Amino acid sequence: MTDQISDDTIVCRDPDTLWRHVLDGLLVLAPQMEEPIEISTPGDVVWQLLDEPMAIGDLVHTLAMRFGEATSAIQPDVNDLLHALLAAGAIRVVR
Amino acid sequence: MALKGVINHGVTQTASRPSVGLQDEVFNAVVRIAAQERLIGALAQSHVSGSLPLLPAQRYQLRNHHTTAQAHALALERQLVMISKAYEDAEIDFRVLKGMALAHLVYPDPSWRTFADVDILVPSHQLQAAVAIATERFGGTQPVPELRPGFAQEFGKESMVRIGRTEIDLHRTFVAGPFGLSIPLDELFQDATTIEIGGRQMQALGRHHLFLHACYNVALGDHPVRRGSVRDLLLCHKELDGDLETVITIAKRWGGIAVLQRAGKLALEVAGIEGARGLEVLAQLAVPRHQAFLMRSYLAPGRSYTRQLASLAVIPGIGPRLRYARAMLLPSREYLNSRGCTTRSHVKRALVRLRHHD
Repeated sequence: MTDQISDDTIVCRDPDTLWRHVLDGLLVLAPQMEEPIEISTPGDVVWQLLDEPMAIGDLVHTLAMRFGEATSAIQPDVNDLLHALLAAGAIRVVR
Repeated sequence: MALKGVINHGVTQTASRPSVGLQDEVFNAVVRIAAQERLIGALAQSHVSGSLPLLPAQRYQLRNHHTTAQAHALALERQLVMISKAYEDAEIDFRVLKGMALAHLVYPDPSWRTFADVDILVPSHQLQAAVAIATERFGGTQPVPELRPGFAQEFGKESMVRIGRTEIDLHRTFVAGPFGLSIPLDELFQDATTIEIGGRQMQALGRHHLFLHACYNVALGDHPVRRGSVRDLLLCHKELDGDLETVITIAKRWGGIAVLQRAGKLALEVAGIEGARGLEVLAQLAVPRHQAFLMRSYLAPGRSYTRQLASLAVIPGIGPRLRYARAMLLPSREYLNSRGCTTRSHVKRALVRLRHHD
């Protein structure tokens, strides 16, 4: 599943995942995780945006606009983060 | 001064003026006290808002404290989610209590409230079932058994179950002693406020009971009062949209005016006039004489014993009073073993404490 995401893939937070703010980002604890993982700033913005289902392409575009970067510059990092969150069960593919 | 600003942060109407920063020695003391008084979250909130500028090393120290506390909070919330499912399946009516509820109700972000355990209120007649689920289904243990079989359900404040690293406090009433025994407990389940944790909707107390519980915690909880409890009370007053007239009417029915008066007085002492604005009404309440007597039992040096004695004054009926007294004087062998006592040493210790009572 985690290898099959594309710009059209719609993802959102897993509703059973617990999370809290910390000084430099977030802690996220998905149901099957033993310990929480920390998502450092600015990766926490991804988490905030995925409060509602969002296509990955739209997510990257929104981030690029917010941080004044080219989408090509941030796409690899966003994909890495999304893969990690999917593997942890903290987000899920809607369609 | 720094701690008072943290306690009042987000409570007072005037904008918090940034401080000039704290010297390391002062900052270390502030963090130490904040950790003891459940104010690490408030300290973090103050810093994020710009009210508490920190040097890089100080920020790093606070960050570590706060992150550790939040990781623990997540583990506790996970435990609450699991146990709440089991209680719903077993049709056990419950209310999430204290920090876990208040974090989601009166704090601008749950991350600004730290807590150390799971607190759940259950009806008296369901307490044994709730304990059984926590121990049998989740492998929990009870390090300290009840005084005598049936005591917890009839007179107890709470039953503590340890599940792994987490502590679950299953409450029957707000506090031990006479002020807890005189609360009509059925009332606590007639109203509710909904919170959402981990995608699940759960119930906390109704808003007036939330405020009252915060008062009981301030007045009768830790001695001296924990500053984090005062902050809870200030935020309940600000955020819950209740009215003090209704709260006072309920407290009169509960025989708890002395509790409200002491809570108001302590809030003013800790937070000052500005922070506790509006709560001076409580501090000015006239306390009935018999309630003043009961309140003294909570404040005496031997208070763990004096309030037990004072409880006899509020327990109705000869049978229940005898059962209570018997449990106090002759606890079960299992209870004594858990405390490393014999009946003789248990009674002797109580007499020594009572003899030194002012």
